[in-house]
Amino acid sequence: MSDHVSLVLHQPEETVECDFASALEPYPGPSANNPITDYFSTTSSLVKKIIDTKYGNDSEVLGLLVLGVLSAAEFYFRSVLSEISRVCPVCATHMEAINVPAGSFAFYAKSGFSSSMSAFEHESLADSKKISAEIKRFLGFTCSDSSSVKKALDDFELLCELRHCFVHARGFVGLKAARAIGAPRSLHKILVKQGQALEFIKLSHNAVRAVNHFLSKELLNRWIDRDVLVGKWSVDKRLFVQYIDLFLKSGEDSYSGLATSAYAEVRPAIIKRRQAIAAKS
Amino acid sequence: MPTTSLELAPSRVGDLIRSAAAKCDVNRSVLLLDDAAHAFSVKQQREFFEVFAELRSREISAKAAIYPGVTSFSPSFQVGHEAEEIQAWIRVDGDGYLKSMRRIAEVRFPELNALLGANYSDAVDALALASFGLPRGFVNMISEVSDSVGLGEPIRKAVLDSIASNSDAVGTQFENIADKLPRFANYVKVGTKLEERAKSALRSFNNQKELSAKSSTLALAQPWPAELDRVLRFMEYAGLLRKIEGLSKGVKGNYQRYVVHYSRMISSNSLFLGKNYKLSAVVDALKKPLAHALVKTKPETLLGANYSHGCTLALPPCPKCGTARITEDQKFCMNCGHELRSASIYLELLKAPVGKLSIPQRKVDALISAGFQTVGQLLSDENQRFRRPGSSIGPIWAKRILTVAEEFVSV
Repeated sequence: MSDHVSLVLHQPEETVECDFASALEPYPGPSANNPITDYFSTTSSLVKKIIDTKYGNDSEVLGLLVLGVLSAAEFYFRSVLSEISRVCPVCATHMEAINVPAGSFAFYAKSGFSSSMSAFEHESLADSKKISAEIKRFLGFTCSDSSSVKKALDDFELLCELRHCFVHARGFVGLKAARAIGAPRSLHKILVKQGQALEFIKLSHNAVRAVNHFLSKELLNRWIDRDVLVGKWSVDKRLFVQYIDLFLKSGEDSYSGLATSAYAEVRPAIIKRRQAIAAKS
Repeated sequence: MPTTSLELAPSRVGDLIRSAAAKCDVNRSVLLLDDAAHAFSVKQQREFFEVFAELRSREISAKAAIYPGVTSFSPSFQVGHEAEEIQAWIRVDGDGYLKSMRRIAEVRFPELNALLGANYSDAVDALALASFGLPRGFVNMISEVSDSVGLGEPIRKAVLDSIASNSDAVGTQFENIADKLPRFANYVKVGTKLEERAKSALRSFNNQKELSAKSSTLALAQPWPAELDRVLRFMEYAGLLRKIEGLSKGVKGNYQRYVVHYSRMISSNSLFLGKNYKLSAVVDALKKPLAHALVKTKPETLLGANYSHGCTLALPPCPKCGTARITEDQKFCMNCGHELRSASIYLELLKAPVGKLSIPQRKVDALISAGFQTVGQLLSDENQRFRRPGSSIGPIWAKRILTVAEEFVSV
């Protein structure tokens, strides 16, 4: 490469020594909350900042706060998928074949999170197709095109497009994002208003609720179909309580947080199946 | 700093009153408890009537002002059993009405006669009628007229202005129900429309009628849904309407008669008195209304066929901090950030059958037999009408049912 001349068009770079490690603080471990509760707890503090008059009219800050919510949603998807492997024996078997980066398994094994988190080490769950694919890869559940979870994830996908614009282009909307959100094919910049920020967050909440509902429903029915649950509380208690602990959002459930009340609704289905099997044989 | 806790259970208050009465050598004490319906929230009113019932004894008699539509009793309090209801409204068409109001004017405003001169009698009678049976309103209007005339304003204008101001005060009191009971804001809108349409119907009726044949009475064809009943009771509370005797027309059906507030009739020119009418015309048109001069109509004629759809409970405030919603499609509380559920979900919950509530089937059956089909009907009933004698719902269960219903729609 030739080196004939160099013009001074701006200041030269400076020597900067950053101690990145000093910006990190040891984290005590995963929250005691389940993934959905953890998501809502994280996002509620962001919502409080959005409604704060200090930031309410600042589009740049609002955009960053929305990013925070999307980050929380992505973390929810990672954590719920990996936590299921700890609870469900069928899913644990299904996941056996998944490859993970060698070191990451040991890293997460010591973290308090499920070691299955290591499977997401080089992955991003910030698009709906990827989320559906990971649900299929990890658990074997298919999000059908007509399902409500697919609709919620499709809406979430639009948010992910905005996220892409914020993260990679200072909020300028590229052609791909413009096509996805149905915007005009000319250069636009995202300037989030307070009301819109709150609407975007609701879409994120919908995606999380829809996925949580989908996974909990599929898992429970799989347990019934594969006779993991036997219909006796004394036998099913351990597994069922873990299931409730993993998926229930306190205050939004119909069982006042009581696993026994929820089990009372499940048991007739188990008994019915077992009676049908008994009648056949 | 040392603090002293004051423990005042109703029984303790009863003991204190009895002890004070004994010292005064009287056998019976009467407690006059005013403004409970104005000053307290629904929850506080329920607690108030709990205490009210507790205070009642052989030696202590408690009296409280209650109002149609806005007074909420506790589940254990039943009018008729715990207390007797006495109508306090003075009928404007009663024989002694004008006489007693004139007496009030003479005693309270002895200089008024000299101030108004030849117009005194018409002005006082017009104001008495415009006050619609409320001495306080009458006194306020006279005071206003007295000030205005003292400042040189013509008597007729001063009287009509004070009537208009009284009319506005009544209208404001009705609109304020939406602030006091935000859940019923939509009912207030329906009431506003009903009053407008009623006045319009009366204006048409009064057109070309002689003074003695003018009317302010509306006869509404029965039956009507519970929602409209609540609207009408709110209107009665504010004084926009007064319920008087019903009217049976045999096979043609039954009607309930309501008189529209006279101040509202006068200020909106619904009496159709012309442009420059005399005060005596107001008096002649209102002092002895003919019993058969009325507008017979159906609620749906005034409000449209699907009017009850407008009588939905408004979205509740934030369940966490109680801040009212700014818009119906608000997603989060703008005070605490708590997530709010959408209006459509709320409306669905209100329409849900009472069987959806987590209460025993026997209680559900009792509610249905009392005419409560939906959760919304249950929540818009301030008097717990589902507590009927012989029903399986007692005070404890009434309270539980309401709590469960509130939780059910808590969005």
